Amino acid sequence: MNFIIYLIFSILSVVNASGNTLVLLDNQVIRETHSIFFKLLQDAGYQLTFKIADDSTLHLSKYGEYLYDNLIIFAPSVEEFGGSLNVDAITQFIDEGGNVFVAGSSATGDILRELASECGFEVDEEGAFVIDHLNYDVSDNGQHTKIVVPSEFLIDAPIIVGERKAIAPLLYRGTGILADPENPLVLPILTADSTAYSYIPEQQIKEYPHAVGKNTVLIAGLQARNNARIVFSGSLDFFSDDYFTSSVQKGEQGDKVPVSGNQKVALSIADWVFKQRGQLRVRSVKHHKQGEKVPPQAYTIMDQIVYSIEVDILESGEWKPFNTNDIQLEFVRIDPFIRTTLTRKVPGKYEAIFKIPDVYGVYQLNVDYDRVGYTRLYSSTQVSVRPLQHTQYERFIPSAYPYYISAFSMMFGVFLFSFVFLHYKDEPTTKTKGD
Amino acid sequence: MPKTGAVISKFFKEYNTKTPKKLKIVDAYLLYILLTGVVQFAYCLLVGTFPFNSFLSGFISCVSCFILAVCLRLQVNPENKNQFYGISPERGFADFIFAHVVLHLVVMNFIG
Amino acid sequence: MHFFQKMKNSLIIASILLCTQASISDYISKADIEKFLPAFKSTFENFNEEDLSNVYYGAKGFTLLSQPLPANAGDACKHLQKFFKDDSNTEIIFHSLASWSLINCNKILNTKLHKDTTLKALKTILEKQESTTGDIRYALESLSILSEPVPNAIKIVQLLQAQLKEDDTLPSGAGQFATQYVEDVVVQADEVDGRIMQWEGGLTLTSLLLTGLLRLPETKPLTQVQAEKFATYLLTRKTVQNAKGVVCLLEAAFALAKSNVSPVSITFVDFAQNLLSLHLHPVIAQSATRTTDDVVVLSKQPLTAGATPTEFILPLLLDPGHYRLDWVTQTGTSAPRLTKLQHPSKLTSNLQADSSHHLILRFSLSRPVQQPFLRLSSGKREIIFVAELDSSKAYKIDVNLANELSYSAQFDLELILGDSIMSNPLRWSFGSIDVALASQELAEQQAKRGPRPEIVHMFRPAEKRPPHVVSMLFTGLAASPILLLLILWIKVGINFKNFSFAALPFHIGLGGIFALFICFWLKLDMFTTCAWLIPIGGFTFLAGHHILSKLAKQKK
Repeated sequence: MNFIIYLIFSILSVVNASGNTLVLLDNQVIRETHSIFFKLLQDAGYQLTFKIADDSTLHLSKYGEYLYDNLIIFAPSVEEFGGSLNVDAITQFIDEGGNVFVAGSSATGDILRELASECGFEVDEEGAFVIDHLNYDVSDNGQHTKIVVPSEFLIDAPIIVGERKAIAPLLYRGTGILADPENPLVLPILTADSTAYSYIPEQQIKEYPHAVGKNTVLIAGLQARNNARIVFSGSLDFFSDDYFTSSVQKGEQGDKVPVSGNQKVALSIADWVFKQRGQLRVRSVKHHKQGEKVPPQAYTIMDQIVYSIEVDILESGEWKPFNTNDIQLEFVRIDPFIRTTLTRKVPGKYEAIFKIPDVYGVYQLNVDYDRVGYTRLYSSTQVSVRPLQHTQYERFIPSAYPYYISAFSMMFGVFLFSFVFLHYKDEPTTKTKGD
Repeated sequence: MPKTGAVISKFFKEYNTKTPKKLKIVDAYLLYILLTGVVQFAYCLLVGTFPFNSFLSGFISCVSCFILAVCLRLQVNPENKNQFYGISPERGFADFIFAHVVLHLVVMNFIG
Repeated sequence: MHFFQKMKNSLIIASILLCTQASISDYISKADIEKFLPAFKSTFENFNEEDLSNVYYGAKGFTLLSQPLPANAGDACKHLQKFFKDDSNTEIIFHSLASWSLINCNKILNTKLHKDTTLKALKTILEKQESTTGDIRYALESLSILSEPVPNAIKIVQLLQAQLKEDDTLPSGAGQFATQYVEDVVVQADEVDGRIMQWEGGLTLTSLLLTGLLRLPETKPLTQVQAEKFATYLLTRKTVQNAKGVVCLLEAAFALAKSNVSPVSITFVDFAQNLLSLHLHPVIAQSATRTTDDVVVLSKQPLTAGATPTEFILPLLLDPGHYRLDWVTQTGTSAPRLTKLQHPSKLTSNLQADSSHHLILRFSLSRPVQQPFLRLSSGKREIIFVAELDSSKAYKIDVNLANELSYSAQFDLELILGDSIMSNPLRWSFGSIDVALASQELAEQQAKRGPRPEIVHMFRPAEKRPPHVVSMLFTGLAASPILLLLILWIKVGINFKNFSFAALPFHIGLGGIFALFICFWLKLDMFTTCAWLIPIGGFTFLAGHHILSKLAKQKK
């Protein structure tokens, strides 16, 4: 019986772990020219469903539930999505937590441009390429649009792109993207060198180019506030079998690198977009007074409180303890009173011991961990802090001894007085009569 | 100046001769309470009101004792017999003691 | 400075590419062929008992490329022998027999793979009504490998025609027998992006159809343009990984190259020494030569044959080019101060500027470029300006520093020149400029998401307490009036004449109450105190009442 239950659970967990992914293509050729990429995804456990982008039977959800967790759009020149799919449907998909991975090219159509602007990116016009006359590959066709991008232009976030130093130079051929610098959610995953710009090749520059220099974003990413992830690449060729297996040589005089780093980076980014990497969760939160095990109903001011939290990260499909050094705890009553860094003694478990302020009220123990490439971790626990009970104040204070003594002396005085007063007898005198 | 000096010396002379001894006992008691209160007040002015409850408690204790003793003196004074018709001095003393018990309970509670 | 030295070469190439109609820009090179070999080798290394076809594809691949078979070919033969069955699928039978003959297993193992029963089974297939076109094809091919005669050819053709009438999907129409369906088949191909043609079904089907169509005698199934588009499709599949795919690709490529609609590709080979060398490649690098003395060149010179049969040479004359740069900073209306610079030198001292200044840059080149940029950078931030051609055909940039820059800093100046026909693009860092602006925008970076500053709560400081000595002093002072009281009482003169032992209980009771109060202060709480107070107080009350009434009676 137990064995059957175990079997059922293991099957269910396998079903949950596989990301159902809808892949939209311009045509079947793309499926073949990018076969290595799709094979890598399938080997990694994603279930891919291939459809042409204007297939009229497309839909993302059925009976109110989404059929897919992830959406790949490798259809740069699509003019209109088929079936029930349109930019609004995709935006809603993102709002509900779905992840989207889009690759454009110089022939990016308006509908993808609209989708990109919903996500905070601006894609250059049709026909424009990213041109770099100083960093083009030797196999370029003369327009200097097949550019070599060294790995240091990747975003400094190993959780998204892997270890930068171990990645070979990348090949890129496509359009340029502008990311809004004010938007705190946008991540420029791959940017171009200062000598690059995005324009229509062979044309004299009449107006200021759409994207110039380091502002030119080649692959842009976004993690929404609900932790849905979107990646927009300006080049579909970046993911092609050709670029994955090709050698890289910057111009005639450059060093030849046997294989480009495209495959590594593509798989890392795909894993990141589909939430297989960088996903955090809180396993448990505990707090209590130092020396006790169970939280009291209300803390008292100036108590020593012990707070501990366990954080997990999803790695290879399993939740493992997450180790870092900079998770902070805030003790907030409208404004934070205390902010400390949690210390880690056991892998995945973070602890802080501190003294509650001498101000009473209702507080929240907040952990808000928001780092580039990781999902936002937020945990809030409410505790009440009461003032001292009237029996908890300090007593027998030396500087109050005069008062104590005078109070006792009063009592003693009364005692003596009653003695004296009661037993005094007026002597019978002739003149004065005291009654 | 000489007028006030004469007044004060006359007052003292009258007091010494005319006041019954019983009342003088009470007066001595009153002076004692007064001095204790003054000492406390001076201390508080000097060092501040840190344990304010202790200061209040001690000081109020003195003030209340003073008041109760004054009431007792009034009641026991034979010249005031007409005003306390029906209440004997013994009754006054009993009230005095009762009030003291209550007072000191409160003082002990508040002094901290 | 020799600049644009190779520019003319590039122009020629560009025009050649534009003028010839053969416009596919890629070919299957030696490097690509080398990449195919591992796929073939792996079929000889991983023997899978269910998949005898894999061996076929590996062997066929090596044969197509005229490469020697790997050393363990004998193992392949043994593997085939072990798992060959008469009742397998005809396709597998065909693949096994073909592999046997390609690897020459007859010689290695000195036996035949097939048996008489195999031949019998094959012939039966050719007579059955239910056999599909695929089966028929493989059976026929197997028989031809074994050099066996085909029985009753006319009946087979009739069978096929019947099959084709029933089922006109593409896979069944494929193969060498779809003579009357050629046009329909070509029409069903998909055109993608205007430059690729393929059949839906991928590389295998496309290659199968192409080889089939091109093998047909005396018909021209494809136009030149269509052939080029198919060739482009095949070239995009150069990176196919598995052996079967590579074999399909190679078969189709060879078929195209041999046909009379073979597309041509041109690549630029050699820069050195004023010589222009061209390689002309049909879809796959072959020894076939093509003469092209009608290639249009700027000077309309014919190409002569070069070292290899596919190389052609044209000598060229070149002009050297040179350029010179002028730098300027201009203060308001006064005349600009020019600083001349020659590449690759740098400014000797930093330029100084404030918010009223303009930075003016003038330079002239021998021909216009697409990318004339000026880059100002400070730390991680950069600003790029585009130069414009003025009336004298020189480039000029005029930067109004107050408007364009938002913070004061020392900026490094760089000139970036680039063009697609420029073989030596330029990135020249020629100096720095210190800019001091009137209005300071704090160049603060939005704090990256990271730990925020720590907050430690400041507790209310404890009240100041007097020193012990002072407290003790006043304690003494507060205790002293008791003494004074006693002295005064003695002075007044007290007596205990009214003392009676009956009064003792009262005093004891009163003392007890005060003692209780002291205990209350020390450790008790109000509830226990009140609880104790009731009996003691009651006792005191009774005792007091007793003594007072006694005193009152005494007075009377």
